[in-house]
Amino acid sequence: MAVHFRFFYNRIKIYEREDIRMALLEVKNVKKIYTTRFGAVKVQALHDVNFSVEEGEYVAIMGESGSGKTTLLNILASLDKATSGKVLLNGKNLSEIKQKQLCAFRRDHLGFVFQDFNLLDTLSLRDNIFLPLVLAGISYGEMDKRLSPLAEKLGIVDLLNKYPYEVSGGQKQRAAVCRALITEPEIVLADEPTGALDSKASAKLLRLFADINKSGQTILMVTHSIQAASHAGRILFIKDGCVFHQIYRGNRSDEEMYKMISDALTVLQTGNSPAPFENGEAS
Amino acid sequence: MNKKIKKWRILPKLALTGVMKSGTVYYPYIAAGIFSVFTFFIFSSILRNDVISILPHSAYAWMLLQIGRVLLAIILLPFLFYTNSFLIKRRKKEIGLYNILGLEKKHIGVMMFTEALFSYMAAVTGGIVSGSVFSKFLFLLLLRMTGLPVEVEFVFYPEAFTETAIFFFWVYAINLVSNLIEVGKSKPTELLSGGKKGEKEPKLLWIYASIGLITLAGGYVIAIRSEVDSMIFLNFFLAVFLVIIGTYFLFTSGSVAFLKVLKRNKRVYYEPANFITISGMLYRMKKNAASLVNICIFSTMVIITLVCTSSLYLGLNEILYFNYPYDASFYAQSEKADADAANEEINALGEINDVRINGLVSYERIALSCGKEANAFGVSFAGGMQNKHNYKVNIITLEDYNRMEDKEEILGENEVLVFSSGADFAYDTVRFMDRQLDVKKELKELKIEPKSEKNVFDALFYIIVRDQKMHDDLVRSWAEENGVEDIEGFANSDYRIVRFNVEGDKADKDAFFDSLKAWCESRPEFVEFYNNLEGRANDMSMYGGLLFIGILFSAVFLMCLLLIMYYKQISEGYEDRDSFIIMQKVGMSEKEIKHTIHRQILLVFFLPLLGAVMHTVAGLFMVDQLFTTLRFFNGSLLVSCAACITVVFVIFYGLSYLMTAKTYYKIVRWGESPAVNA
Repeated sequence: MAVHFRFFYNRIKIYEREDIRMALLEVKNVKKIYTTRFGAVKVQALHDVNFSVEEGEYVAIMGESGSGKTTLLNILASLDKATSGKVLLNGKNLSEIKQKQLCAFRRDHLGFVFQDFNLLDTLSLRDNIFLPLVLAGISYGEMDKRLSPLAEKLGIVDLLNKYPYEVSGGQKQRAAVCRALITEPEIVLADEPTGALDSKASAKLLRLFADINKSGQTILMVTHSIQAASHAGRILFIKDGCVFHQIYRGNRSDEEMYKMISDALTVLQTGNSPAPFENGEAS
Repeated sequence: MNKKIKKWRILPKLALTGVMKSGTVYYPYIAAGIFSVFTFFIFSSILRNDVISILPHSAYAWMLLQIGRVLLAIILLPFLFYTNSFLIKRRKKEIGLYNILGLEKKHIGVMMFTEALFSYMAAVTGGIVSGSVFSKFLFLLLLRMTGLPVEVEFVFYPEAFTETAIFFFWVYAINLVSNLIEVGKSKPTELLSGGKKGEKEPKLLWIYASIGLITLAGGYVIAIRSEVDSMIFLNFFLAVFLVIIGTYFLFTSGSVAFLKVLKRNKRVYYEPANFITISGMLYRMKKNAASLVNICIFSTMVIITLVCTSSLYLGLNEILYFNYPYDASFYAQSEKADADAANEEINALGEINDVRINGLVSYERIALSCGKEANAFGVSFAGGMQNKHNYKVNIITLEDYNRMEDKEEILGENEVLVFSSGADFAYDTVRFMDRQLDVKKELKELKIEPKSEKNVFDALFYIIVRDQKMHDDLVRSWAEENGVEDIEGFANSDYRIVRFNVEGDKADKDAFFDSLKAWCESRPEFVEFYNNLEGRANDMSMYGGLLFIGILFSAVFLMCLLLIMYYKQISEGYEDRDSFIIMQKVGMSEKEIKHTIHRQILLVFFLPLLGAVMHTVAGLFMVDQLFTTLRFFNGSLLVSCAACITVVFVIFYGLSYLMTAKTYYKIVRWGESPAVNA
């Protein structure tokens, strides 16, 4: 597989734009190899991933299922470790953080939004949102102070006392976004945030993400939905474990972005057609 | 046509793989079925045995087994029903999937029928085979416990097999019908989402919580304060009822209310250590309160059953002594009686039959029923609540007393000795009808009458008087007060009582008793002859039978307990698995999560145990009172039995917790990285 890649595509180098600011998140030569339980089969999920995210950016990572984008996100989230390479957040190498401090690190610096919301049924929405703050030992007054403007913005003020099983998917996801934002994280990592939502709720959530980004929040979102990606400021395309294309928004509208993304995807997919032949040759 | 046949063929296969696939819930169900059949078959095969009805003194044991089997059926039916309903809830998803994939309801019906048939066959075969293996052993155990002759042959009767098979046929048929109804009325989408449903907040939380607290307290108060009187059985059932209701409400609403109070206190609630625990407990209590109540009640039942039966059995000798202080008694009308003749005859017959006569006593007494008020014995109370102050007062002379007890007491002009077989009399003077007498001494023991402070139920008094004249005076005054017409005749209506113990071989004793009884009955003064060995054997058969049933029932209760516990662990496991992953993603370390979940599980599981121990303690007061009606007065034996059994039970409970927790951990699979699941 690796052979096929180097042979066929000129990998697009992503040059870091050092002229503006130091990058918030830097991903350098990240490689991930999964080994099956008995070590018999090794699967390379990420080959050599390089990119960086600057403060205030809204980046979407696109790719088909199996392209390695979830693996990448797990590594960024420090939920998983890269086999080799570096992930730097604010210049701090994630792989150097000790296991014991990892949880606290994640809590303090990262915000998460998941496809399946990951809200605890045992807690009301309010308490779900408070959970990371409680774990960080923040006082109730402070938590409440932080919550009110956020809840207002996300439109969940009336839902705070409800339990996850009592509200709709879109509402759950907005609560999850609130939970991600309340710790004032340096970066919000979103994994297919619209994956479990209907189109109306998806649109609402994406508008919300754009708003949050406008107010300065850095967001990194993994998705395979063109609609979701079209709201982002920059889109990275990942395929078979490598980043090989990216699109900057510039001054384009969402609709124009949509068009560009789908065009890019079409090219990538049709470009893939000789693969079986090459595959045969490579092996 | 061909295709259709294939489809019908595949259904049993699906059923079987369904059973295998959900083995974690199915095998325990089958195991419970086997054990239920096993116990039922044991009862049946012992009851059906001709031997048990022929053996002497076996009537009580037989009757107890008979009642026991009915009770067993009453317990097993709802229990297996409960287990089955848990099972069907878990399997709804699979059935829903089959339905969506194109199996019609009737096909699913056939599948479920096959499953029911399979589990029925497994239970009945397993139960009867193991029952046949163990029933002889258990029969011998029963015989030993009841003191019945062990040298009998145990035979299997076909009726036992058919009875068992038929009873369980109905049990499984009922379960199948309920499953069919359950599946029939639900839509496939509902079937698919089967197990998951949000928990509703119980309404009127505070009212229910207070009802729980009040009823439980009421039950405890009744249990602790009730005394032996005509109301005690009513009180007993009332207390049991209140405690069960109270436990139910306290577990379902009380615990939730309590946790809500904690939650309302923001300072306490939003502490990292409390946050997850309180909210988690709240959720668990809402979801699992009902099964916790069941666990609590079953635990209490196991402990109380074992405490009652074992302490009765261990205290049997004492009970027998209280019921029958002597091996034999001969009652005769004293005016016609020749005391020496009886003594001589007893000794002579003893020698002939090669048995030794021990501790023979012979005395005259008259028993008068009196109403007692403080230190005064007056006319008996008639009816109403005063009834319980009526006592039998026995009057014997100092001469008889000194001879019996081998003492040389001397009494003054107006003096008497007093003995109470219950609580002490504790007065310096005694008023008998219109006579005022001085109590020279209150006797603490009397050979012919065992004494226990706790003997309230049928205590009696002895007044030992100076001489025959005073005896006559007292009897006359009683007769006058009670309006007896033939006062002279009445004054002479004492009984002469001869009581003694015998020692020797059983056959010799029997022969001796037979000939003595014949002699006594031939005498003109004959009133009654008691062979107390018979009575004791009957008692032994009854209490031994009780213990046997108690042990078997405890085993059944334990099985119920274990299964409820196991199923609860499974359902908790599936829920915690999700929470575990989420919490890790949100930023709790694995260690923190393990710690808090472990603590919650422990709390949830040991709450019923705490309840059971408290119920047992309160229940002991009542058992202690109830046992006095059986003349079991050994409170310390009861308490030590209770302590031992509670300790053993706590250990068993802990072990079964650990065992079932294994399944829980297997489901939750600690340490699985959330990234892999993402």
